Amino acid sequence: MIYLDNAATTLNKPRAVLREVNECLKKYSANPGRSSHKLSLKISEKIFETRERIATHLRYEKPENVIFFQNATHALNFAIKTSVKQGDHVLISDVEHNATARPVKALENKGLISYSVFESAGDLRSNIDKVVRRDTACIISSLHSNAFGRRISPKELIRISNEKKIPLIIDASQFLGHEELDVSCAENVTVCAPGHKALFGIQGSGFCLMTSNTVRETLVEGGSGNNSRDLFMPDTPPERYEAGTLASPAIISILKGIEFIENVSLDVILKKLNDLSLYTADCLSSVRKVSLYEFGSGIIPFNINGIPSEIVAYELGKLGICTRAGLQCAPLAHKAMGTYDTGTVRVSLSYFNKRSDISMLYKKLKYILSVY
Amino acid sequence: MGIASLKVKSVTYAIKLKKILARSGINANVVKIGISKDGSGCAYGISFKDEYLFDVSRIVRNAGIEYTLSDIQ
Repeated sequence: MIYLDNAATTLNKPRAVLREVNECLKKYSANPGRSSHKLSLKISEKIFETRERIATHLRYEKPENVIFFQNATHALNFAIKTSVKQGDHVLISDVEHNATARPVKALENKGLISYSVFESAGDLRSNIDKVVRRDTACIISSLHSNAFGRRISPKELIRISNEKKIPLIIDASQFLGHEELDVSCAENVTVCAPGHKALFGIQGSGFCLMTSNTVRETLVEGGSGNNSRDLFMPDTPPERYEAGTLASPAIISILKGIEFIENVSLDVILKKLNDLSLYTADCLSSVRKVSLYEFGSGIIPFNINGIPSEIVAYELGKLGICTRAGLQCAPLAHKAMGTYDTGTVRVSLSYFNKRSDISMLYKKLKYILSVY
Repeated sequence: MGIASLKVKSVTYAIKLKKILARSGINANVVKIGISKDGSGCAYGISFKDEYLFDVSRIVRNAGIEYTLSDIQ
């Protein structure tokens, strides 16, 4: 099986990730932050180490401002819904995943907020200036489109956010693990990401990192392991926002994933992804009837003229190649790119893919065309 | 020589504090503090040799971590 669906979840994980998850499940996966016995303290310390590693990876000094959630969608829901109040206006980019678009739409539908969409192509600053308002409460943007790989500059977003004094919410789902993100000079940014994509963690945990110390509302209330007589949630992060038991093995997998990435180095990972992306694009464009779209960061969308994207992906799947067809939960991006009606077949790569994987994709596509 | 303990906001701050103290050469343990001390329920803190009490108080304040002196046994 050749796995080219890494933008959804990376399949191949570093050995150190698998080893540590196995070790954790076998030997120390007790409940963190609840008890005084050695195993509870050990897992608590490992989780803290993961907070530290994430904070350091993003060039931020407060590990307690790393909050764990089930995935990036939950992190984004938290970030968005605790950043706005009745009557606010927010900006979102035109390539947002539904993890952002749907919570924003739901808030609008309840009559709580209004929103505008800014163009991600071209001059970001002037695009934002066109739609920003005095009552704009936050700018929400991904850094790489999950459907087309379009890159939106984090440095520029942070500069704009700092200058305009508008909090920034970043969906770094397709970015972390591929490129460096430095939030050290961001005044008010919340970075949301999952563990299970390019950070090489397992499914079950995502996080957000907040550079602002403003106390936010809680979305979920429950046990936190401390101040239990108080029926209100604690007033400090991370426990204020982490009601209930954390997904410890998944969290610890992020620790090992980031260690792997830093050992290999982001430069090496990005170069490999870029080289492999170009090779993929070259192979695809040499296949008869293939339409190639904007691509980048290991994400290469295409269509075969005359064959629906879902059929192409299905046939590839039967031949042992995993891709993803349709809108990839990013209808806004497909509208912006003109593929809203057809969707695309998305090839998404990871550091562990090889040229031979792409050569096989090429062969199988030619085979599909020959029999279709 | 006795053992002193400080109560902090949560297990996260207790672990953070333990690591900060370790960098200053002070060994501390993360401990769960009894529920009856100040009426707030379960809590976490650190315990350490009480000879370090002055140093620990200074380090904790400099680190900006809120604490209360919990117990000296």
